[in-house]
Amino acid sequence: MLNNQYSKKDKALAKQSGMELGLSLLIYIVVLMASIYFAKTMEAGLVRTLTVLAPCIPALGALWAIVRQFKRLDDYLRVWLLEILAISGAITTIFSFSYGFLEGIGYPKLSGFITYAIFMGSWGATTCIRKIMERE
Amino acid sequence: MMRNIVKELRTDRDWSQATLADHLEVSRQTVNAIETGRYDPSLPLAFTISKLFGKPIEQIFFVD
Repeated sequence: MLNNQYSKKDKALAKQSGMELGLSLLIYIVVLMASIYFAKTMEAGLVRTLTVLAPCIPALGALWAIVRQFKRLDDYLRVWLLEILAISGAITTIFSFSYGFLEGIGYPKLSGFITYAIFMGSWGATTCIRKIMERE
Repeated sequence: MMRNIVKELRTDRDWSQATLADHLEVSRQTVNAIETGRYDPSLPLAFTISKLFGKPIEQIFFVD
């Protein structure tokens, strides 16, 4: 169907963000692997702490790629994405304090990493639901 | 609520949403949102649409 084609803007956005984010994530994975490898054999101390934190630097590169992508989006897509991010943040918050109540009555303590998984999962789910709802 | 005749103007020219999006330099999703009334375009985009179709803004966008 003709209406389902992508515009030049869509293709340009996907190409540019794919390259920038892909490169950032590739560097992140390399630095992460290296930091895990070297940190294992190091003694506890400042150098080991900095080595473990080293992947934060390429992670900032990914953040930079995301910010650049936001700036390239047109008005509607920016609002659309911000609404999805707000909903994902709300879901994560509700999960976070609800589970906090459950921990109070003896449920197992969860790692802080779970909030990241919940946020990314609800981001993906919200995006899919909205795309289905807005389908012509 | 705002309504518009963007879809009618587009189909009169036998353009797809993607073709109109290319003319306006926006995403196809944005064109779809404008046509279905989910999104009212910014003033600069409304002027671009007006110029593209050669019609005053008030003839394309109006209050229901």
